Amino acid sequence: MSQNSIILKLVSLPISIILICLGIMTILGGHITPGGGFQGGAMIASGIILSIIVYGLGNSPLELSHTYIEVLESVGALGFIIFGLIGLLVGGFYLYNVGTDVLNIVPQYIQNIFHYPDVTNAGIIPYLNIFVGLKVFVGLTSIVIAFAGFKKLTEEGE
Amino acid sequence: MLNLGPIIFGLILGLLIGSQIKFKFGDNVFTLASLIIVFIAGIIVAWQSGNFPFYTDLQISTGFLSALIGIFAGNLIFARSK
Amino acid sequence: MAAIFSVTLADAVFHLSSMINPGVSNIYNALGTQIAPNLVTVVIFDFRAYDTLGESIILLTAGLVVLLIFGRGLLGDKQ
Repeated sequence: MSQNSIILKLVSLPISIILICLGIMTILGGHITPGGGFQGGAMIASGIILSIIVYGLGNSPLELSHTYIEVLESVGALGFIIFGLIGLLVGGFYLYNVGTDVLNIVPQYIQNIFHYPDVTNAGIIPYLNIFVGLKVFVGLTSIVIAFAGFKKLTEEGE
Repeated sequence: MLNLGPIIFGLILGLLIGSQIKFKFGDNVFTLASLIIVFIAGIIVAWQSGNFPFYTDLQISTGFLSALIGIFAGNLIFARSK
Repeated sequence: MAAIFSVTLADAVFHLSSMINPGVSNIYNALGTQIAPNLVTVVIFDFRAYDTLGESIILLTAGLVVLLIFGRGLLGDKQ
């Protein structure tokens, strides 16, 4: 599965690190520029997949353990749902934006808790971007790791 | 005033991903000198892309730099045994 | 392709785009840019956040089903 060229093995780890950092930058600027949770998560996944393809599955520098994949996927999905429950408790609607409420039914001290420290006033939108980004990145990477593992298993079995 | 949002959450996300990276794998080793060159290349990318989501305090992209520092710090703090 | 061409021709001849009722688009355009500058992210994460929750569940189910089907009988046969 691993490539044999020395140029690829020399240059693909720095490029993977830069791709991961660009993906995190896209997630964090999701409420101002085009981009956001789904797009940034796909960029982080592509950085890790490059490292898996070039170095092979057994000795890749970015190696995700089994517990890590389970925990992050659950955190991504449950975080989204629990942020919706906060809107239900305080405002009366599920997934209500308690940062900038457009109906004026939330008291001011609860609005100040969820304020993303920024010049904009976007409510819970940046936090939802982060949870969705984590979920997309872990989902795509786990499928590629499974396919690479199956291919290696059938190659060694013959 | 400095915008604190990308700095704090960039560090958190970088620490999450930096816990799974290792620099001695198979029979290849990335020494300290090559990691310093990767860091300098990251600073050049952050300066060239400007203030990324139109913030007005600095001319570098603070989210990118926080993620880079978070990856290297996560390797030092949280890394599993090699 | 034929559908796109016919709709464009009908719009040019009969002024079809002035007969459509805007509806909720006026509310989105008036209220959206006060919340955040990017209107697409505001629509999919604030006004229509319930559909984005369903999209997340689709991603979870797709990954789960791929791992179930393609791993059948290959790993861990303990008999």
